Amino acid sequence: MEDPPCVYDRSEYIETDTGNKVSRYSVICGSQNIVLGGKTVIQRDCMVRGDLRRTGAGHAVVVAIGRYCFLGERCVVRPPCKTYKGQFNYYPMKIADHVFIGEDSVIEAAQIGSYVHIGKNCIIGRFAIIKDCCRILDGAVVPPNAVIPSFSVYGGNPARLVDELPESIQEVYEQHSKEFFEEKFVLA
Amino acid sequence: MSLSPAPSSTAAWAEAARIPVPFVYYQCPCRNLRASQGDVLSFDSLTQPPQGADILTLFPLPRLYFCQECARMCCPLCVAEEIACYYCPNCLFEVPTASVKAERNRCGRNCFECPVCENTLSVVSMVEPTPLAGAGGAGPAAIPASPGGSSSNNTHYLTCGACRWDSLEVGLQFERPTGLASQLQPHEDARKDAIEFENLRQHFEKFLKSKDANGPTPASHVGAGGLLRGLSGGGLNLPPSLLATIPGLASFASMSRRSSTLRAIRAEHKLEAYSSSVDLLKADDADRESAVVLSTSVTSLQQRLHQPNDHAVHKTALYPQRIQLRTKRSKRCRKCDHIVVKPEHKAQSTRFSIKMMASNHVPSITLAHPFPDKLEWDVPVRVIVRFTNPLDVPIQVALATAQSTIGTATADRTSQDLQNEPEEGNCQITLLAPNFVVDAARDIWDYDDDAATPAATLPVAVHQKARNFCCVYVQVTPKRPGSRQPSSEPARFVVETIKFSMLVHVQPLGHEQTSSTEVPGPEETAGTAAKPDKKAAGPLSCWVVIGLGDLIP
Ligand SMILES: [Zn+2]
Ligand SMILES: [Zn+2]
Ligand SMILES: [Zn+2]
Ligand SMILES: [Zn+2]
Repeated sequence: MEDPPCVYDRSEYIETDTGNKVSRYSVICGSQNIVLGGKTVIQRDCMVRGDLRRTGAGHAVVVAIGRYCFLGERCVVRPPCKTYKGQFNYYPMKIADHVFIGEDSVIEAAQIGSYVHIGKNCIIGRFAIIKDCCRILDGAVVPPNAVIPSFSVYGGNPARLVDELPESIQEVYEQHSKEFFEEKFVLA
Repeated sequence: MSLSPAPSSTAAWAEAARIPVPFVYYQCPCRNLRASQGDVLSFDSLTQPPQGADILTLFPLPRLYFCQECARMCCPLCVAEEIACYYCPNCLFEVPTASVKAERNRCGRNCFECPVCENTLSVVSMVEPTPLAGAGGAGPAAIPASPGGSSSNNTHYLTCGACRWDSLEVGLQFERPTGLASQLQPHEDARKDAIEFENLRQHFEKFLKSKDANGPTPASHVGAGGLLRGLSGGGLNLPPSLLATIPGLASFASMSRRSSTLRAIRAEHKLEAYSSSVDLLKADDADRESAVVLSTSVTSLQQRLHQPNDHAVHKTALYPQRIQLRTKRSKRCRKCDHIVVKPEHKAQSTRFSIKMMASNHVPSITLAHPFPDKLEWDVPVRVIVRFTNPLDVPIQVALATAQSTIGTATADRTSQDLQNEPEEGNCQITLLAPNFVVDAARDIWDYDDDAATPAATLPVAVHQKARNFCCVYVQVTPKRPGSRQPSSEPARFVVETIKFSMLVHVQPLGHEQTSSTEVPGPEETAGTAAKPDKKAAGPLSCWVVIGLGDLIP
């Protein structure tokens, strides 16, 4: 089953030079610390916290999101934090290319690789690392500091390995994200 | 889901294995290969559509491989797997095959799994720098210790970030925060069950060695040699280590090995009696009984299965387990032994040196929008089926249906009936465009944006034709199977999955034929012949099962 076309209003989205489309109804904090790779869509009511950065240091990239990524409605992207040697600090988050994040998910990962599909209502805990080519099922809770290796399907609370993805998954997710951006995300 | 009396086992099983709708699944031809003894995959061998029990031979296209030698699709069931490398899913270090056995398929570094919730445990220090009050609500247990920051007389323990279990509950602590597995080793080896297992192993190995000396062991029973030597031996075709990577199947892995060796041993009748040196499994019953009464302290089945040594009954006996290794496997066609998938050896690489997927050879079939809103009995709907051509030559597609499709089995029929009678379909199919051509795939920038064939010139029943895809209409009329009258059985609310099978025959059209068909530009015939994986193949046929949705009466 193909995804239905997602029709949008031109006035709702701010389009950057590199083709990112960010909804005006999303909350983007500290945008000078956020990098979007291009052709990435951030839907309405999302929250990206670029303002939560390491104390003391100067200008730094806090949230880096790659190309052809998609943040569904009401997602929260918040850099991970911890107290280390008595010092409370936020640490940068990196999301690579072709990453799909479903509605209402909260992301506090340290690193999300390319070709990753995160379902709806997921919680990706602090400092979690998701490698390339992974799928997180709807409603999964990935605990803090978890490492999810490539070609894994994780689900449940706490999330654990439930299946392996086929070898073709990189092409499947790449095609999916490109198709969405080029064909399915259409002007009203 | 249904209020009907318990259905026959076949139907129940089919229901359990139900594919979520809507779907387009392809049938692997391996079933027909097995059925026709001649091992030749002919068009005739595909005349039978997939039946209800064939649900396990149906796969989505991304799961299917392609063997160029046999010019056929291969499914995960008809490829043979070989382990290319072992790695720890947490620290991602590769484990050399030689040391996998000694490490019992588990990570020998610092990776432990929570015995309560299976989450990865982290190491923390007893003495912590005082956390700032109210800082993010993080308690001391949530702060991973740094090896450098710990003083010499510090102790360390394991803690779970998900369920707050910690190893102090079972009195487990470490002097150093690194090399935990080796620090634990003497403790683990001293366990009674470990000693008993070791004794048993020695006992049987002695026997097997003497037997080996007398005559060779049948290789099919015991992986030629010691009791535990052949990881890929045993009764199952899957290596037990592979099974062990699947949660819940770990016990199968040991079971298959045990049963096959026991069979071999029984055949000999020369085994001397074994006397246990540790009194381990005695006087447990009363204990268990009282534990079950106080049910809060009893472990769950899942937790018990993850304690392979003693299947601990009491929560207090739960012990952190080293994390099981995962594998990267190469895959071969079972028919001709050619490799279809070969991963790169590096544990963290996601690349493959050989990757022959069916999606590069077989047109992908998807259900396009607009999709019918509602399915009703006897109301015809039109669905748009999109065929996308991955080949660099145009393909001629021919469709056919069989009137019997895999419908939901009726409850009142026995499994015997299900096997003998052709099953009734629950919809009537009219292929409005049984024959059409799909143009060749090209690089994305080679497509002309305005190249879509104007609607007026489209052949009948072709919805849209552009680039390398063609959308055709299929008319579907859900039909209540004859034996199920709505008035006679008012109490049953069986959800019917409207699905049908369709035979797809694909004939690649050679480059020289390109000009005769409706594909215009001659320039691409010269250009895109470089991809070795997309070699123009011969004709190919397969059954496709399309599930449209659930019809709720
Ligand atoms: Zn097969
Ligand atoms: Zn490890
Ligand atoms: Zn836990
Ligand atoms: Zn083959």
